[in-house]
Amino acid sequence: MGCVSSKQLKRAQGYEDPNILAKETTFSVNEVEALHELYNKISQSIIKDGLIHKEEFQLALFRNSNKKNLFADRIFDLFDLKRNGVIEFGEFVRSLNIFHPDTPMAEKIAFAFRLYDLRGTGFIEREELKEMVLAILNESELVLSDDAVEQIVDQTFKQADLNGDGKIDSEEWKAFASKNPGLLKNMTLPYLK
Amino acid sequence: MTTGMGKLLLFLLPHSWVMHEIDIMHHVRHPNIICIHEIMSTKLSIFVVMEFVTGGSLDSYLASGNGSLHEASTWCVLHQLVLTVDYYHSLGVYHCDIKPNNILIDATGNTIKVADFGLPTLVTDTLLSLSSTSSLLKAISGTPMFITPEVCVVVFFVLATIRFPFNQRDGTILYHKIWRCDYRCLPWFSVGLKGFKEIPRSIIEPNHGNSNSNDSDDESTMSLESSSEDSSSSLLEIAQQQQCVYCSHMDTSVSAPSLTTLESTRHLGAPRVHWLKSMNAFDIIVSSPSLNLTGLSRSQRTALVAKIITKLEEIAGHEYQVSIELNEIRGALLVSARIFKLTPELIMVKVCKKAAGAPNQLVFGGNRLTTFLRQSIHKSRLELIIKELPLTWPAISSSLKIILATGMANMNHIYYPGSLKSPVRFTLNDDAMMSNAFRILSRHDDAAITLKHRGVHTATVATPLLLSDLHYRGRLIL
Repeated sequence: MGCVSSKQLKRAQGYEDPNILAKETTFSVNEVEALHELYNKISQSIIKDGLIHKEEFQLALFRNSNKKNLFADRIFDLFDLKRNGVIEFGEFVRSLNIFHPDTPMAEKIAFAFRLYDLRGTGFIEREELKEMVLAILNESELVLSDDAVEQIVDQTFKQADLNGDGKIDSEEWKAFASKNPGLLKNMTLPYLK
Repeated sequence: MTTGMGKLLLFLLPHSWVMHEIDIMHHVRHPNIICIHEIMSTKLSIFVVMEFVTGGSLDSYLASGNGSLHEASTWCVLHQLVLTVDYYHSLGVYHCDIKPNNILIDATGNTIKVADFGLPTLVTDTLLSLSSTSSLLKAISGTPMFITPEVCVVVFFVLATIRFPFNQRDGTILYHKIWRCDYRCLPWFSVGLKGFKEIPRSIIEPNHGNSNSNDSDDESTMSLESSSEDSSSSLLEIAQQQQCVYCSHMDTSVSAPSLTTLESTRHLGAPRVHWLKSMNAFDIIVSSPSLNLTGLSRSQRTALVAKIITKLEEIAGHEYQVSIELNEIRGALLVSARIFKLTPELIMVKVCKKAAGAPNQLVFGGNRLTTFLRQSIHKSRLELIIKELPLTWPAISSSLKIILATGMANMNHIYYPGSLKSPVRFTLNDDAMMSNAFRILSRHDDAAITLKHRGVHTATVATPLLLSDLHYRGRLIL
């Protein structure tokens, strides 16, 4: 008997009714159920508590649970809407919804903004941008001189920071991303359709 | 787009040989190689119906006075070109005359097409055994300015600078210059090109070492040496890297190299080249694989393969066949893997390439990779996943990725089959016990398979290849 109740408990934690989730998102009930299967697989991969922990998320993304990565961390934090250190099923579906091909661009743009706003200040600051560029270069084992990096960052700010206050606000980001649709290609996952 | 000398050579060749060669070209299928639709012949002429490429040749573009290609486009061209040459070599075919006027741009302006089949030469055992034909190979082939071991780099040089790295009216002096690798980088080279300056010197440099055994001042030997897998693979890496840096809109799937700045033009003739808008920091950021959530769904596939493996274990002792269909840059490919359990400890994995498009491709690709895997102590942990045999299955220098799961790292025993003269070394440089990518680089008598993955730990895994299976036309072809 105890076994049954613990099973129910597990399911209760973070589990949400597919019908409700389907109503809130672009996904159909069937798709939500399919996502639940995917969610189960990921959430049972290391810590078998039915919740996605950061290690499990990394494992799913990179097949490696130890790979420290700025962006994976960022994405995890953004998925973890309740900020309790785990991704619950509802959070998983709502977050993946942004990546659905049919989701309006505006939502994707907003998500990307939050992704790049590393410190959550409401602006993408010069430092943050540089940090991200350095992280990417490091990741791809490319060595660029500091000057070159500065140059890239400066150039980008020239294009994006329209009012020239040294930071990119969400409106500026909207304009910039609309001009550079390539920047949002990762915000759409065709397989979700 | 024709080469007088090439044609001449063709006519010197026996008819059967010509037909054989055209037959090969007929079956070469590659997005970057012009497609031959139909071949007809009379007693005197051979008619070849080929794909119509509207964009014109790179040469005519350069000649039209638009100046050199933008560096980014040049890298894109180089990337595609190296893949193409690589593909040729993997089939044992040598184009021998790669130069800007043999490189066409398609209507979309995104893809290059290598043309001119006047000269490509297939190196076969038969050919090499015939003294008459081997002397034919020694005939001067190709266009002198582009006779260097690493033609791609020369093309690159020309595209970027509208100058020949080696240019001299006098043939003898020209060949001498090539031989000494006497060329100059120009003062206005950009940072990227300056970095590149150091690289091509080693790549362009004719392969003196290998040529020593032959007649050392024989130009055609040099063009044959262009098959050097090392240089073509390193070139590929450089081109890929650079392309990643420059081409912000490059498709991440590797399968679609794109020439972003060459946009389609409504007029026939020289393509109009638009300057690539400067790459901004966010372009670099989105190129990161970490921002690609596609991996999330991959776990499903992995699970599927794991299931297959479980099943495989159940029926151990019987033959099990996994077929993976690929639709990669080299055209549709069908790969089948057969897994045999020889002894409780020894498992043999046989990967066969089955051509999907043209059945005749099996002629080229009747190659098999046979791998013995020593099962780790924990039998239950043995998982074998064959995945993503990549863009360049037949290519030696490109990677053949076989994802092998846990247990692989424990296999550090080296087996030498009787026929194997030199050791086969596998270097496992893996960041995940779960997945390893096989990079197969093989050349002549030693096959080195490197499991390469940016990662934390390095282990050496040795797996013998049956060389008899891999020996193909005097070279190792997978």
